[in-house]
Amino acid sequence: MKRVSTEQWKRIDTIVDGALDLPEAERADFVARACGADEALRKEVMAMLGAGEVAGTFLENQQPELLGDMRSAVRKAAEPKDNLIGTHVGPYRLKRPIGRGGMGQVYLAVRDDESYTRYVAVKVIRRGMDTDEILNRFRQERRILASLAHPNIARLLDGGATEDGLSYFVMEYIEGEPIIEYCDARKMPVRERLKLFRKVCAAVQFAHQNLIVHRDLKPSNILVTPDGRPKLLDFGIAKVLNPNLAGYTVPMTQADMRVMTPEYASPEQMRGGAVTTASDVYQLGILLYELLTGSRPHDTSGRTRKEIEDIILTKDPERPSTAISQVSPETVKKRTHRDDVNALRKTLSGDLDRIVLMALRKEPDRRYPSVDLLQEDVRRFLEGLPVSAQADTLGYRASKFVQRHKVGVAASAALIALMIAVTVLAVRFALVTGEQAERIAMAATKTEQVSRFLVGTFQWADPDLSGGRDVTVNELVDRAVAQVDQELAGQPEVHSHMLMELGIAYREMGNLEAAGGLLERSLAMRRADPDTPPMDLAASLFHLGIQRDWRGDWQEAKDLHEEALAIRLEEEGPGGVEVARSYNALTAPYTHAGRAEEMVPLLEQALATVRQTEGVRNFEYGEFLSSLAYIKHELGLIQDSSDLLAEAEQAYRESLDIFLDVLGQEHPNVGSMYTNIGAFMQDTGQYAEAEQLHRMGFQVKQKVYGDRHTLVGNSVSHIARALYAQGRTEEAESLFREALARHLDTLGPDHPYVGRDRAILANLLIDTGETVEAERQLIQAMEVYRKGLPPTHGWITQAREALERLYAETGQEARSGLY
Amino acid sequence: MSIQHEVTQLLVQHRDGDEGASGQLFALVYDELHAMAHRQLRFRSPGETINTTGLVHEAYLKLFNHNEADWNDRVHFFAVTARAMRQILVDHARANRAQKRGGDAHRTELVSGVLYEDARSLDLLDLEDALTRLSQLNPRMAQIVEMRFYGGMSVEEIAVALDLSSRTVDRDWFKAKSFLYLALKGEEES
Repeated sequence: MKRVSTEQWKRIDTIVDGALDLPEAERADFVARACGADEALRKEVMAMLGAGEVAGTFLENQQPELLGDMRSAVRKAAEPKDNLIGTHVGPYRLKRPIGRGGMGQVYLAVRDDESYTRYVAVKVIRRGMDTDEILNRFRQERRILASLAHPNIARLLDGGATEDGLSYFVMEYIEGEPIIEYCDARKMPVRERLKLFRKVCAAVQFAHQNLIVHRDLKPSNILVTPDGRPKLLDFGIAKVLNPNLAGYTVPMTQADMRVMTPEYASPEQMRGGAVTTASDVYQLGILLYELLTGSRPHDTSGRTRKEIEDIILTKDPERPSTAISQVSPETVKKRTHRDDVNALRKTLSGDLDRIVLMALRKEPDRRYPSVDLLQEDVRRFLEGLPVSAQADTLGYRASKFVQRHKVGVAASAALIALMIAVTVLAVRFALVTGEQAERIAMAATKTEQVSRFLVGTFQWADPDLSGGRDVTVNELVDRAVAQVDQELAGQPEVHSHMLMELGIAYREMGNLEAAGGLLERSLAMRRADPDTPPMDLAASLFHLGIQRDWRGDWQEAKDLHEEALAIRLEEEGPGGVEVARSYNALTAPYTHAGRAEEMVPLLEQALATVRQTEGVRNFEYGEFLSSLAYIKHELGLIQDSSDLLAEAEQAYRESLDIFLDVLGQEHPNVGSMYTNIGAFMQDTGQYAEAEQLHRMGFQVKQKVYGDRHTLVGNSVSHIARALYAQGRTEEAESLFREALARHLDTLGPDHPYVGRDRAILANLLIDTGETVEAERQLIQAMEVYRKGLPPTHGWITQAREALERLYAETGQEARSGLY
Repeated sequence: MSIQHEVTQLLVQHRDGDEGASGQLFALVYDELHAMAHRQLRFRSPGETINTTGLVHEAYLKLFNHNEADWNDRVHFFAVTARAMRQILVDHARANRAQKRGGDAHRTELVSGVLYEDARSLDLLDLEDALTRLSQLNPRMAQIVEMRFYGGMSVEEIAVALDLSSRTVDRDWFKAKSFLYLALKGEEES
């Protein structure tokens, strides 16, 4: 709209009003008549009317909930304090109590300000809980909880505080009975119970895919409707009520004595450790136990809290088939509503015992990695197929080495696969070129060398051969490098290849310096040899490019990747798989160069390529998708586009889902995805969620990389930022310092990350008044940045702004030449 | 005197026609909101939206005494909070001090604050320009935008605050949105 005068505006306004009073079809004619010959006026009016339609949620979608909570609080200003029956909570009138939990009372309520009657369940949290904190967390969670739409999950509709300071949650009202009672009342046979259990699992799995952990799964939270559909209640609420640790339930006992009875707590909840999807797996294990045997795995009745803790933390539960043998047949009959106890024991014994006990393992990482795998085993049992659950010791010790050295072993496995691929290719190539004799001889030599090398390496990993020492993967690679240089000298084609593979192994273990040395040598050898196949040269360029990227030399990384890309485009054409990988690798370098937007079509091409050749459920598709998510996330923020942000979130989740599916929980990429999604949550203001995801990322990374790895340091820094944003300054400061120390250790003093750690710490120090140290940190950060980043880089802007703020607050003169 | 009590007093004085009370109330709400926003904004990039609803709610819970004040006071309190919120956001955008976030560069772990355009702040300032222009043409519409966009007030609450019918507020809101939309779109194109 052009700048209009008050006079013009009045005319526009009047005609717009007149038009708005008419049905839409008549407006244009009316406006034309009203404006007469004034074409400019007509255009302005029509623009206003048109804008009103397209503007839609403009100015409104930034305020998603407006003040729903507050309005409901306002409405019920004058309300009796304690007896809530008949009163309003928000727009809901409480009719009668329908349940009581440790956290408060649940009411049936009706929404009666609408033309139809709608029943809901309202859970009013008891006095003594910190309403402000609960509301805060609820606000952070509500978007994600509201999105949890699944036929077997009761929707969380609303939440807020009553005028006199009680917090409440409004949920879909479910008519049904608790799952155990439901099964018992119908004397359901084992198979039917298992089918019902699988439906429960599917709902929990759906929530996990949306990164929501229930934390308080227990029979009373799982209702079954009269038509046999299970409905899970209270999803996400345990976390809102108590985010720290105990998601477990606190039932009331007689005589109003509150006894902490954590009957459904998992060992990690008991210890106050991180509560993850594994805790839900554990609680589902308890549920399955109870569904099958009529009793819970641990008898906690009449014991003190300390005793219960000990039991949950140390005592292995009886096998379900044993558990029913240890009590009298009468008791079993009563508990399970079964007449034939022997038949039941036979059914349980074996596979079902193993399934239940695997879900109930003390160590979260030794349970089923996901709820989906738990229900999959139940399905296999139902169909008479072998189940994946193993008795405790089998396969456990054998895989210990792999667990301890996951990355190294993964790299070695990749190494073997690549070696074989290379050999096969060489032979195939020989067949079509006609220089058969020579090529086949070459391939044979290569194969032999490769296998000899690998055998040697793995022999050395055998503790017996290395004098009983626990050989680290690092030592393995060190040793391999020595071997390669010794035995392959004079055979540049094989030698350069091995150097590259070993460089990759180092890189994956976080030893960037050693990786760089080997990858540089590999590249140099291949460049020097005019017979090097172009794709081999591209591979060396590519892998060195990734090493440069991780080291923070984004300019150099960009040059290397662009050179590799040019070769690959020449050799493969735009739809090639290696081309797709190169596109993906350019993501970080281009973003740091301010060219994020160019990445969108490239990544879309990469995704199309993989989709065509491999489909979507594979590692690379997940990886490329996560890059695209990142680009959209970054662009969404600077363009303030909720569409892009929504697309980013969707892509992140899809990619995490793929990774969990194809890689399992303990994989470097899964750790990194937690970090990415956590950062997304942080950027969209969901700090508690961000903190949780970053802690999950930290755990996974620490497990797969060990403690001294850059990416572990990154997670520490992210956790600190999430804490800081939540106002937990002291915890944040100590973690900022820890992140700095870790990055100094793994990256050295000149890496941009180190500068960034210093700058962020400095911001906190300005807030806490430690301005002397803040200034020192910022100056050091600037020095690091100046060496490694383009002058317009966002991090430099931020550090400069921090310095300005520092000098503004201390009233100091800015030191000249700083910025 | 507790801060809640002070707010109530000022609301009463305002109702009794004391002009100075409004100014004092604004200053008090502004300071409180500002302190809250300060914490929330510390680690946000300019591209991030600010949780204004949360802040206004927080201010309401902290500053407003539900027992002593009546409906009109509430509405007036919201109106003042909306104005304070607008001021804070504009000040913030102008000062351009927001921190950007940043992080990892891994082949998949890529999150970082490496783009440095300050798009969101510009938007907010463009909106402020357009809103100022609108208030010259039609002060009431601008006030409605302020209450709704910055204060998160509902149409009904605004109607009470301004002593208008809900229909009028709806109509004004529609027109104000159209005006601002065209103004911002023009800004983009020029």
